[in-house]
Amino acid sequence: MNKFGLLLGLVLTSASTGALGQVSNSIKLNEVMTNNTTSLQDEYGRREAWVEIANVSFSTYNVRGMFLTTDRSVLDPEMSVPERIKRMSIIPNGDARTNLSARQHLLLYCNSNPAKGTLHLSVKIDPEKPTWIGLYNGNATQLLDSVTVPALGANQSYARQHDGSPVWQVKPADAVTPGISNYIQVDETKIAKLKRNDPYGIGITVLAMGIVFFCLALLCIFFTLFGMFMKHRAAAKKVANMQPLKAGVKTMEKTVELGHKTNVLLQDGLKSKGIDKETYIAVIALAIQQYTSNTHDVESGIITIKPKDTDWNVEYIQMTQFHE
Amino acid sequence: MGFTEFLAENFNEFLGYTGFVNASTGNIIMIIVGAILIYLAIKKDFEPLLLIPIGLGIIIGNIPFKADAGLEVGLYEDNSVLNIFYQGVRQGWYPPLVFLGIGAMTDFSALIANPKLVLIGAAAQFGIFGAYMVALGLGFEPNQAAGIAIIGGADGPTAIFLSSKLSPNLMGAIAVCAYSYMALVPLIQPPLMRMLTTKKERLIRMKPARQVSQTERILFPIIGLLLTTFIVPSGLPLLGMLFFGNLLKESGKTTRLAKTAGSALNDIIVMLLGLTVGCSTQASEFLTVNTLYIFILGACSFMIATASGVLFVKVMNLFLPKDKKLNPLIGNAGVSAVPMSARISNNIGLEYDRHNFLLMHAMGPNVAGVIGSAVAAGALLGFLS
Repeated sequence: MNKFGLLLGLVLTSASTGALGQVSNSIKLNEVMTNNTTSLQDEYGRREAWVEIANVSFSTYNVRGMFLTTDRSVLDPEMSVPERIKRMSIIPNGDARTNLSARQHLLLYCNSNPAKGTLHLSVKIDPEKPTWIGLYNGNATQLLDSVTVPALGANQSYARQHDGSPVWQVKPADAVTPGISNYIQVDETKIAKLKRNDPYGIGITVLAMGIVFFCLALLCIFFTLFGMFMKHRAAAKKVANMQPLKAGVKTMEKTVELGHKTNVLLQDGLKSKGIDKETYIAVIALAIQQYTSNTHDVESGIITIKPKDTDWNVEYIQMTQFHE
Repeated sequence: MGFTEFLAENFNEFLGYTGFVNASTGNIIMIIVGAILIYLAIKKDFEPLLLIPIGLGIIIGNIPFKADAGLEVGLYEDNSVLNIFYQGVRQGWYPPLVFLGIGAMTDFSALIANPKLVLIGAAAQFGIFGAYMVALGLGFEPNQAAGIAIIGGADGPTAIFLSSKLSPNLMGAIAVCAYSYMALVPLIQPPLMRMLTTKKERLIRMKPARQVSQTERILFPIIGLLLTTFIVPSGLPLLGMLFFGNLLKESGKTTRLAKTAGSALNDIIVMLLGLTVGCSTQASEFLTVNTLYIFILGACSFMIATASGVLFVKVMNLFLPKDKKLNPLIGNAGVSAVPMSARISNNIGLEYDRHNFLLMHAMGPNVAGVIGSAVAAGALLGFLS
């Protein structure tokens, strides 16, 4: 494999690892109730322990095929996948509710029987003891999220402070939030705030115009400086490309050339223009050779010069309003 | 039931479906409006690429039919063909595609050669915020006011993008208004330009711009993207696509892609956008007092934007050395109606001095206006969404 292929392979591998990481950052265990006596009822009117899963991202994820477990033995990295699966409960296919859109929640009933419905899992939860709960990806080896729930009082829940927040807290029975966000903020909307604080829009105008000017001024500054740099670079390149003048050598060459020309003029007269007869002969010979071997361009031999007045030096073009 | 009765019953039922039975006065008014736009586009050459699809769209959108027949033909009926096309407007994915085409067609050289012209593009955005304040004064909610005010950016796709996010119920009127005023730039701007400048100012000759290297032209979209979107990430869909299109053009290696983005793809999107925006103006939705306000405010914002650009050049001239003064006639080009407003600068300049070609100088603020209006839309979206 060539180097490019290797590099591409590395990039693709790291991208796929990133995609896995994205799922683990998006799907979280969000709230758990282990001792349900008067809280949420399932479709059969029974009250069971439940676990809430949240999609804390702004994309849709399907959690079907993921696993939920309370058996800590699956943390053993040496355990085989079939062994792991035996100790886990799968979130089944075939239920549209497992397709979690952005910021959506899913409730799973535990201590139950999957035959009762797709969201009923056989995961065992003992309300009297602290319980470790793990959420695994479809490969049963990648732990997406886990939490150790303390022994809770009746109808209390153990929940993240906000959806996806790392801080967990025990919620009293009257504050549990199954299936909805853990923190409901009843605040004034942005628009209502704006209407109250900036009824004439002056604040927004000043801020937004400032932002527009700042953005475009940054562009202006950058390209002014960069333009200056490019101009200097072009000038430097031009200088670098010029043939360095070696003063002493050049003067000597010129003196020798002039001396030779003077000699030719003295010997052969002004008509020779100081060029050797040998040079004339060589040029004529080359022309004949090109003609006979048919390698010379075909030319008309006629030069037409048409007069054209360009006014390049007329005075009125150079006149300005300050001309005197 | 006899055969004759059967025929009569079906014929009566058929009549109940026809436009003649279901037409309202509003439909007829809107059909006439659509016809006028088509006339202006063809006869008067007012932005035919926009006004013909919009004009015919208005006619299509106002063909009366029995709404409860379940025919699935109307724009506002789920799964109808027009409804599917309209999702590009509603969900705001046509505007970024139009920006891709604009980027692929635009030469930013004039701006790179004379970067101070970019500030004129910023100043002209005051039209947006001036109209925002007026709209608030008229009792519009801040999000509606922002949607209406963006008309002053003179940028149809930006107006659609922002109104689809902030005030979707006013989007039809805002889009039609934005595109109509863009077509009317040759009528709105020249009187203001003449009023705000002296004859001496109109005769100012600007130095020809320097040659811009390919390195600078390649760097512009990359640096422009980074500088603008780091500050206003909410403008990413528009700015990202604009600079992407420009990089395709300037890289010199993706000529084929740039050509497609700037021609075939852009044409397809403009057709669908124009047609569906026109269709969205069903009389029942469009003929309201709010629409009238939107048209008045749109005109206000256009005029404020033009005046801001021209006056800003005059202010800049106070600080510039004598040999580097700018002709204030390029100030109107700060609104982003590319390249109409730059063409107007050039035409008015030529009226006063037939050797004073301002087109290339005006293209600088003109393309800066495109960036400026996208940044302004991003800023408003950030504040109000």
